[in-house]
Amino acid sequence: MKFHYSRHGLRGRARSLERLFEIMPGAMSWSILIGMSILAVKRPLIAAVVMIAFYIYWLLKLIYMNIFLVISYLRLSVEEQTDWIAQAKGVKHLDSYLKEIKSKKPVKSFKRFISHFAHYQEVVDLKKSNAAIPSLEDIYQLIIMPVVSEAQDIIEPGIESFFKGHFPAKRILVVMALEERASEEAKKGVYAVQKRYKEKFLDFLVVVHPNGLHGEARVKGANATYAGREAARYLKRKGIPFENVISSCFDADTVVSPNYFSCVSYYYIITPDREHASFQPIPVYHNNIWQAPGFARVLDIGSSFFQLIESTNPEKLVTFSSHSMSFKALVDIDYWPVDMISDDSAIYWKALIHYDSHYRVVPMYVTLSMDVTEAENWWKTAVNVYKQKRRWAWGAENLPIVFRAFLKLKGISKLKKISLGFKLLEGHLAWSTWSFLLTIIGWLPAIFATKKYSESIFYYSAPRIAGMIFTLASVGLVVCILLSLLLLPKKKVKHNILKRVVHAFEWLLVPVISVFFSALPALDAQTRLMLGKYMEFWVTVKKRK
Amino acid sequence: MLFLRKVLFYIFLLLYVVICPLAILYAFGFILTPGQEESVVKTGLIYVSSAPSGAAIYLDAKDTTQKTPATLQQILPGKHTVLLTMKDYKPWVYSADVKANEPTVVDNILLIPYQWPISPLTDDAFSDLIPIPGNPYFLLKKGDFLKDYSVYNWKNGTLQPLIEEDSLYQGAKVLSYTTVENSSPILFRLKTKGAKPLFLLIDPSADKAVIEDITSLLSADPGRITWDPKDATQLFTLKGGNCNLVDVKNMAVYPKYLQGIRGLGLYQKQIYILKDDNRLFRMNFDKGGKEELLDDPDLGSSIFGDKGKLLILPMTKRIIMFITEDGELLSNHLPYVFVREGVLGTEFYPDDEYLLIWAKDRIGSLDFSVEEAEDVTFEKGPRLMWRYTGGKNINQCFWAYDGSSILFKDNEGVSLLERKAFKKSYLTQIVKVKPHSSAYYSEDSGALYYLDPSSGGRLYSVQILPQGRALIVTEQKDKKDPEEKQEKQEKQVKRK
Repeated sequence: MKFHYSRHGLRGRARSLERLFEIMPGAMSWSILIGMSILAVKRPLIAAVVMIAFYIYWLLKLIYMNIFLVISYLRLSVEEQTDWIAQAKGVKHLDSYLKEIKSKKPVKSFKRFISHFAHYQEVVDLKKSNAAIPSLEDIYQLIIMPVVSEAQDIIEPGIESFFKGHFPAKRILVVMALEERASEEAKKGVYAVQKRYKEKFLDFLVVVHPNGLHGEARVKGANATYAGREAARYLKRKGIPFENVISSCFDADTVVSPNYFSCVSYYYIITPDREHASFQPIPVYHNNIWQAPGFARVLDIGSSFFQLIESTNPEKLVTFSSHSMSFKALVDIDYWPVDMISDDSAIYWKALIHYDSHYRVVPMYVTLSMDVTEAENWWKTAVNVYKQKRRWAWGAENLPIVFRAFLKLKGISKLKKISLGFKLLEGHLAWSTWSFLLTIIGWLPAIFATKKYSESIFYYSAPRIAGMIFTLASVGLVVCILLSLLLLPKKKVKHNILKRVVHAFEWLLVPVISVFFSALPALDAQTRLMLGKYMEFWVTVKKRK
Repeated sequence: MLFLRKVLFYIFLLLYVVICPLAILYAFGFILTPGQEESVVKTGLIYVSSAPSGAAIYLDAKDTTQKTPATLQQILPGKHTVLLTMKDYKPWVYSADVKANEPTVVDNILLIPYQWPISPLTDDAFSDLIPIPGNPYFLLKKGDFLKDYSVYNWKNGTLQPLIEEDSLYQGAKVLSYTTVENSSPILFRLKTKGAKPLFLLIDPSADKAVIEDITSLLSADPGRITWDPKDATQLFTLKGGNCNLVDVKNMAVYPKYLQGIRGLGLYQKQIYILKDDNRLFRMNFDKGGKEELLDDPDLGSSIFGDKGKLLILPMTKRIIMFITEDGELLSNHLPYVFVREGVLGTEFYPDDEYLLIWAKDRIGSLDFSVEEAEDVTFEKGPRLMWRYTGGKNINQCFWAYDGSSILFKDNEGVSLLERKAFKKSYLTQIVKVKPHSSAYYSEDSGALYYLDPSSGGRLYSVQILPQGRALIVTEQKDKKDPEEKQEKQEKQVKRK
């Protein structure tokens, strides 16, 4: 469907709808918070009943999510040993390969069995689709890395990780998308890195994105799009078909795992409708995890957990942060939005709408690592973290555009529209309200108990029930703590055991962290959207000690 | 994975649909009793709390395995016996009438120890204790002169003379003193060589007592003197229907500031006056914001009639009490007249809007918190309940433990009485005090302070509330030697 994926340049009904949907998430969030608060004061009994119903819902959802978190983590750990290159090569001769893996002796290790089983199912699905299968030797990687202020020591480890992996570096094209307005230090760093590593790759381009191009905001998406167009011209000149190119847009601090590109190549090959797909890895934040303050660490590990859970629901998976996609699809949909902050999720919605819902995200059980937000001192780190989470929550800006598109889009069933729309809206509402409900508003009925309420049985039994629920929920917290310890980098650091023990206790701060560094920034972002106070792009400060 | 996700989703959805209503019904006291006549029964609950906490709870002679504070749920309606036991404390029994869908709250039970923890606080003996309620100190006196007065601060356990040794008021004889609850200064009326007495306003709250000589502002016999606890610089004197305003700060007097007055009261920096024509007013100190609270002379006349002078005691903005010279207790709430005669004092517990009333031989309470039902034909108003009628010479009463108990002094004995009429009110005698001396109870420290008769009047304290429950833990300097302490405790046991 031809659809202008932007809130700018709208007129008439489209403009009105856009504003209506922009107001919706913020208005709903505030209505929930204020409404529950007023209910707690005026009708504490009803509020207490609603809160108990909410607590039970939250507990069950927590358990539900924990199940998939564990499953997803197991899958991630299972695939750590997978030889993606071998699997990608084997698929080329599909029939014989299928026979080969079918007849393979049963593996003794449960982990290998899971991996083998999953791979077998993927090959069967590919066979059923009758889709053409590209050869691994024909696959190229295009890496676009927007840079605006990141120093060389931030960028360089990522570049190194690109060529140190299992995928041949000579089939990787690196494009540094450098902002014209970048600092001299950043520019020097990029050119220095280009000079040092150019020979390692197919090529290493530095594309300078001019300032103030018409129709563009100062956003990463504009920079990446400009570089993407240059990359397309380069690939055309080289005669490399776009169908054979997997493009990855990475943050400047991204360090990929050694098997990242071989993994994404495998998934590209194995996915039947590969040109209508994005490929989402699991983001981890291990680059500077031990240098960052505890609350920042807990938050970013929480983000990794969220992605692990989401990866178990590919039907509703949305791209996040650094990820990969078919370059052909990227070109078809005209690259990233040049006026939106949340380019990482917007690209998915844009593609979904462009292809009339015939687009999906394929979860990959491979990691790439980024930096935990950090600054010179605790307070500045807190401010930076708050701003970063607010920027993430600004992904709510997609909601009005998506909803407008769904009103027009005919190629998708109503049920699917409702399902996707509900998930998008519910996700943002939960983000901005749940922590407040759980930690603050839930206690208001007892605090503002009227005489009538305090003389009811419910007044006495509700705290007991809430206590039981929170006790059960703490089991979920223990699961998170254990998984976070397992997910931590295996690299030995000074005071390893001590650091891990301290980290385990940091999770006890989740109630406070979730209010100030998750719910509050989300509410802030939604309120700005509601009031039409659109956010300028603020580059997350990345600093390594 | 998708299949698993769908299956789990529907399982959890089903769980929610089942668990949520069950949990809410459980919270409302409903339980399932399959196989019985009624498969769903409404239950009640009993909430029990005690001081000290941690008492074992037995319900109908069965150990609930819970300790106070606790909520006993799913109690079938009917009579149940609740027993609390704790080491070193006497058992406490209560017969609870549990009603369906209602909580039976048995809270703030003050467990009675077998031996009250008593501590001596001073080496010196005194003749009287003068409470200054609402302050972390009280006065102790040895004799009739100002130099004989000392200030005991129970927060830090210090005792110091009221005035300095070199003060020129050392030798003044105290004729009378006036205190106001929650106000730190004390107004002393002292004898001088001349005809007119000396009036000193002494504030012992600072490290060094602040003394203001306000003799020039008062007449020899100013009548009743009072002030608002929020502003002790503005005194009001009432005599012969005229009220003078004495501005201590500016050393000014406003004679006949208000005239034709039968009664005067102060509350939250407002004056309440009952005029001779039985009209009741409220106004600011500067006479601004005047409101007429009772503008019906006939009603006023029927309530106040020919009852002479009255003391107006506003408890809150909406509850105003009046006490006549004969001890008749009136109120602005129906039925207006609560006690015909003999009321000696009142003590208000604002959290529950309970008023404690005592006469020489009885103690009662008025509950202003109960709202009248709308369909009642005859309004009853707050109900006066006499909790104790066996007194001989009740002269002091205090609320204790969040208004759940009453400490009172009857002649020389101080006793503890439970407020709530459970099975029958628990009455326990605690100590005996020196004859003709007062006692003082502080809810903040949870201790009763008194002059011990057996030691000639040394100041002692008995911890009524467990230490953890008191708001402020005070240092109890145990100056007594162990043998004397043992002897004292034996005497206490014998008295019981």
